[in-house]
Amino acid sequence: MSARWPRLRLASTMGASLVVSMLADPWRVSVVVGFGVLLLLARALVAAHGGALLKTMLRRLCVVNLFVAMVWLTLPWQLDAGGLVLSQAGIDLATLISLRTNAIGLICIGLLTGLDAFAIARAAAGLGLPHKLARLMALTVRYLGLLQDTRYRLERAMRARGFRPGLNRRTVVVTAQLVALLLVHAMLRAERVEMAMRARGFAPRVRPEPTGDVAAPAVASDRVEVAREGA
Amino acid sequence: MHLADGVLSAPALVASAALAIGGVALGLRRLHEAQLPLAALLGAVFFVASTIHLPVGVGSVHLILNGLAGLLLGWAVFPVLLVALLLQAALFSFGGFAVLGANLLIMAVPAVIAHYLLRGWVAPPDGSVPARGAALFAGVAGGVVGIGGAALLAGALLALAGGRMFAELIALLALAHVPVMIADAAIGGFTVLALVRMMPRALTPVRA
Repeated sequence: MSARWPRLRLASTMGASLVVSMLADPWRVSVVVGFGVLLLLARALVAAHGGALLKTMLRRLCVVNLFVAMVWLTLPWQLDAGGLVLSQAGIDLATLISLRTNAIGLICIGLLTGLDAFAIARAAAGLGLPHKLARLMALTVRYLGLLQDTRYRLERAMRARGFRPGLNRRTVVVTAQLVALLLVHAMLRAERVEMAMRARGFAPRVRPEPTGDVAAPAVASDRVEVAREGA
Repeated sequence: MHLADGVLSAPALVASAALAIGGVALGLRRLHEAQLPLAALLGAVFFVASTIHLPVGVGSVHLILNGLAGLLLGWAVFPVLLVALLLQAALFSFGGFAVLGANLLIMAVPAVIAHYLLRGWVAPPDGSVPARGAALFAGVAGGVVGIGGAALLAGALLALAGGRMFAELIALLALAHVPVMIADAAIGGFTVLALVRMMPRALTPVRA
């Protein structure tokens, strides 16, 4: 199942997140946590490199529990006239939050680990994201790798000139230059993309009219699909 | 810092999701089809920038730059940040899906406020290149408004969900935002300054 049904996996994750967020009974949430643990173990058992996958998933679970740690640092304690006192209500709420966060985290990690950004974007588009938002997401994912490469290239050039990050003014100036250069790269790229789109006949603010025989819409839409895949 | 799934109560989740959808719809309406590649490229820059860490003492803080994103993008910051948050939740488990609306509000509302407050400083109405002092101020203020506003909104949502119970958590969260705010303000200021020198038209990429 590692490469199949990304759409179903994303939809189930979102559904489970919503349902668990509404649960207020710790026992019911515990059942979901148990299910999530089984899901993680099943994924690790089925996968070819189960150990490595389990390690990846557990690392993501640690990220989820950073916020839980903050909750436990603060919630059980109440500051009042007698100083710091332990409050039962605080402990109960912290327990419920920990269970809910971990239940959702386990399901999210169990279902979505292994999907890359492209798969996530395609799945989200398939789940009925508005047209513009789906295109924005697909384009963002497409440009992420590009800008990540640009960043590494710039950072390598910075290191080659003897730059070492530290807590000083120079680090701030150089890092700001890195961000500014990334923005400039993005702007120049966007201008080239717009020129290329215009060169191919794209007219901004004009919605493409469906072409072809109106009496045979299925054929017309097929043609559009083919044209899109060819592009 | 994103709020995790499972912390906010149902009413807080529903209300913030509804408001976030409104913001995204408005942002998409302002964004023309031809500007989608530009918005995606800028979104990708801010996604990449959020993985840049600055060393602070024994630890490090990572950039958020939501104020700078708002300064450049205006209302389009809503859909752009939604895509970034969706990817962060799906790929790294930062934040979550049920709190997506809340986290988007926390990031994007201060960004839009920064846009309206500070746009005049980086884009003078007569179309001239902004003065260096004005650019530095706008970038620094963008960081303060962006992260300060995010901390305030996160605190407000937690107070809505748990009231008195969350008081200490809100205080800890606000404290954790202080180094992030300083980093964002410093980097934001010098970034806008560098842009004025390198490419002033990059400061007004989206004509709303």
